[in-house]
Amino acid sequence: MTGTGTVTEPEPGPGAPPADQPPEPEAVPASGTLWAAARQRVLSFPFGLRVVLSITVFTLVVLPFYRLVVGSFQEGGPPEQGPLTLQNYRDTFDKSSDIIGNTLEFAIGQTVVPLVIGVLLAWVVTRTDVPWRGVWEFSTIGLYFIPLLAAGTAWSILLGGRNGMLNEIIRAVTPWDGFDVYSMPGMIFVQSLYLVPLVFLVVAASMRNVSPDYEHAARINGASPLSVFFKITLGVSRPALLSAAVLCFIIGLGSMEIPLLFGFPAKEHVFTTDIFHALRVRMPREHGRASATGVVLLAASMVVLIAYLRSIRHSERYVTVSGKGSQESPTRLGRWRWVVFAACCGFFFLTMVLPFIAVVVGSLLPYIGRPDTELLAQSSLENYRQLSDNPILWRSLKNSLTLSLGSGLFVMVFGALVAYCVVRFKGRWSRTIDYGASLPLMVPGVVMATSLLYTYITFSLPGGFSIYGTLWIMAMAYVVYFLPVAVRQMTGPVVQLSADLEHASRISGAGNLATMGRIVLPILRPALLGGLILAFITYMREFTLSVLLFRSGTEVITTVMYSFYNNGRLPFVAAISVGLWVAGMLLMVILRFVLKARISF
Amino acid sequence: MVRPEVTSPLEDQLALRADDLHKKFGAVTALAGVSFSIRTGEFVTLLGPSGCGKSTILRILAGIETPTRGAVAIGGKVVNDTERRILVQPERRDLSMVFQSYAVWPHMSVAANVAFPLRYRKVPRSERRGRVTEALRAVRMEEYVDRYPHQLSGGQQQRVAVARSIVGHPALLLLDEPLSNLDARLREDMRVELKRLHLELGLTMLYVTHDQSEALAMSDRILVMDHGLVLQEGTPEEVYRSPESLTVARFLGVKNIVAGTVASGSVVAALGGSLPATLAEPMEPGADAAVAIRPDGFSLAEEGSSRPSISGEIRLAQFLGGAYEHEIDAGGTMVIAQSPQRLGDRGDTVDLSIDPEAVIAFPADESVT
Repeated sequence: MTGTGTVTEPEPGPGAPPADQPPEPEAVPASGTLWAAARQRVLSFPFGLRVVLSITVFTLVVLPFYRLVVGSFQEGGPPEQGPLTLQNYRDTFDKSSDIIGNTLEFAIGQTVVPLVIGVLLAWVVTRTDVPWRGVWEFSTIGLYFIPLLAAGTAWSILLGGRNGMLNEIIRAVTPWDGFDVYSMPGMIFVQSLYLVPLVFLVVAASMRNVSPDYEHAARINGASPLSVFFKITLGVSRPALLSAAVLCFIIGLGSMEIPLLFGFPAKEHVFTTDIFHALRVRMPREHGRASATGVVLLAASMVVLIAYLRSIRHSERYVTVSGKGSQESPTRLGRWRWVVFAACCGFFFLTMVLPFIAVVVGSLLPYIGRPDTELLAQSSLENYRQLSDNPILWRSLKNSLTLSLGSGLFVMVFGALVAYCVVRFKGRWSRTIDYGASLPLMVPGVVMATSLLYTYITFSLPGGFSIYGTLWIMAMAYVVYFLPVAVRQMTGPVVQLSADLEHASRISGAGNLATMGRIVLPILRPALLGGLILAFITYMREFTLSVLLFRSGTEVITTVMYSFYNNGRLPFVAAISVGLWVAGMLLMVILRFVLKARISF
Repeated sequence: MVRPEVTSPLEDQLALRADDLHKKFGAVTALAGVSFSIRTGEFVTLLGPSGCGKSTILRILAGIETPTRGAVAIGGKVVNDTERRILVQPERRDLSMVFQSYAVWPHMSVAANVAFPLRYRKVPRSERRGRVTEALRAVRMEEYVDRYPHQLSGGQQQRVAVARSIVGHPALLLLDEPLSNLDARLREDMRVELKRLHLELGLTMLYVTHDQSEALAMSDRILVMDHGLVLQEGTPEEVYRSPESLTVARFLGVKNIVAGTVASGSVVAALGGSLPATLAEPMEPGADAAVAIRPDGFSLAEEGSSRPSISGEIRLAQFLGGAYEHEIDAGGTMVIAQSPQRLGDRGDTVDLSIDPEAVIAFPADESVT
């Protein structure tokens, strides 16, 4: 695209006009100035880039949601394109009064619990003198790197019904029955533990930016440490708390792993599992009902989003003076210091150590049951040996790696370009692209998957190539899923990039595309790499989108885990979980200590 | 050194011509019609306070910014003409630029930075190495060829930026306040280096600065700008000795601007005495005047000299190394006087004569500050 959008005159060379011509330099005036102006504009780089980004965002985000909403009002659902009807919604609401209640209970529960834990942890790490603050921060963020399916497996081994190992032990040693994780409280408990890192990241970032002087001022004016925490620390972080809550709630509406793992045996159905059953289990497929359910979920998250946006209307009120670093004068906890320390140790044990022991032990056993000497004596590496002979597992691993790397690379570069547009070409058009790219953040994953499914189920390229049932549609879903985070990740680095660096390149003779390829993207490479790792780990643990979109041949590691789980092969799932767990921790260590990246959302 | 062939002997002389450049940012006018040209091999400086539009001109010439109205020709090639809808992209203009922020690419070695323009100037790979070494030698950086920018000091990065800008032998080299981020010592050294490069390589340079001493020292010609307009154009001596307006005088470092009245002919009454002066424009006797007096025009009045003099009390005398600077209370007005000798001690009352060349009277409607 070098030199597009320009009208250049021929190079003066041999045979140039004779010297007696007027000194007015030779130039070719544009013919048909209006047309030329239009052409110049359309072919210009800022215009072209935004056209490409707009089309992509439209194809990936806007069109699918449009198809979903319209299809939900058509008889037979989106694939049929039948006459308009409200029947789908009637079906959804008639058969699912308990589903609505369950969905709300689950979503609210798994918002409140991680919010409380996450805020306390954020406060402990950023504001107090508890020993080993760095360790607690690292291990809390580390929870994000554990696939939820692996954690769910661990808790299934520990507390899953009467056969859960921990339940067996509790029954043997105490008069109680233990705790059945196959229940609504169990679902909320496990899901909550692994949403804590999200809350923690958002809230800790905010708390770290607030000057401790606010707290000191309150103390000096007579407030007790407790009321300082509630009135000042939490008060100033209110916008962060709210956005963490909204994030959790929408994840709760749209995530599949825990409801499918624990809710199904407990007959506690929520909307996500209902969509799963309508689309992948029941025959005939209930497209109408699935799409209507999707729209209901979409509407629910939009209501929450609008409420959130209204409540942060005056967020400039919370623009705070950032201090010299809050670590400098932490709140002294006194004798509570060791109580809090013990609580942190307990949380670490509960979320990391105990579940990891569970999957390791489970992966060595022939079946899950009372962990007596008889069972433990049978432990062997047999599960691993059998799995290594399983061609579907290897295929799914290859698919997972291909999808995670490919989609990760694409989404980071795409996110960088969107951020670049917003920063460099300010204006309404760029902002619209940004909104479009950020929209998926507020859309439950399950809705995203169904929308894409319905948009591309009937779509085929010339030559009969359909992306439905291929890795491509999964890649699209993966890209949409992470796009908002990718844009956020890249905005900061792009803002830091001086425009002079690009101007120097243009003046040196490089065109717009060459400048992008040789200057802008290479300078952004460290940020792109950090984002890529985050995207990679997000994709490797991804389940909700995959389980709705995969076909035989496009399995990914999490869908294979689920089918083993569904067939009662818990030890196999445990073995795969061990692998993912170790890989996740390794990536975390690389990200933190080799790339020295700060993890944030 | 390959230059595009030129079309006529007249154009041969002109490296750049800018015609009636206008630029508006929304409601703000940055340029209100600026025209000038630069001859091949000339060193021209745009001098003015920040926000006067001088950097906007540079960015328009480079093609980073588009003018609201006007035309630009570089080396006889029209690169911008709003009437004829001609707009050549930056990469197609035969020029280079040194940025205030250096803009040395952080992910490339010094060699890669300097070699970058050669790739696009179709210089064969085999020649590039030699050209890079040549350019780095010109800025005395040849031993840093394999370093990366973060391993270099600010001054060294600036040298790399200069090497990168001269390596392609551009028809025109633009410099946007290249010395303003350097510390004082380095700034002096670099100033000499840039002038040396200009002379040795025969480069055509357009230099932007707000520092009048840089402008005076380096330029063949200075364009003094303010509020998007060129106020005065001339050699450093011309603009220094005969400023056409108070703004120009002030901008060229005239620290003494005092109120006075035109007496008769070219004599003004000011500082409690009568001073022979240069009138910037004809003025009626009795008219109020703003009188600009260059600090270097003061000397001790000789005994029995017929030259008019004023008397004042020395409040402060400072030795600056090459000269003395005095603060003198002359008839209730503080003036600054510089001279090679000490005019007296603190508290002394002295008679001073002032070189008529150093006294310029402007109509007083230009406000006196």
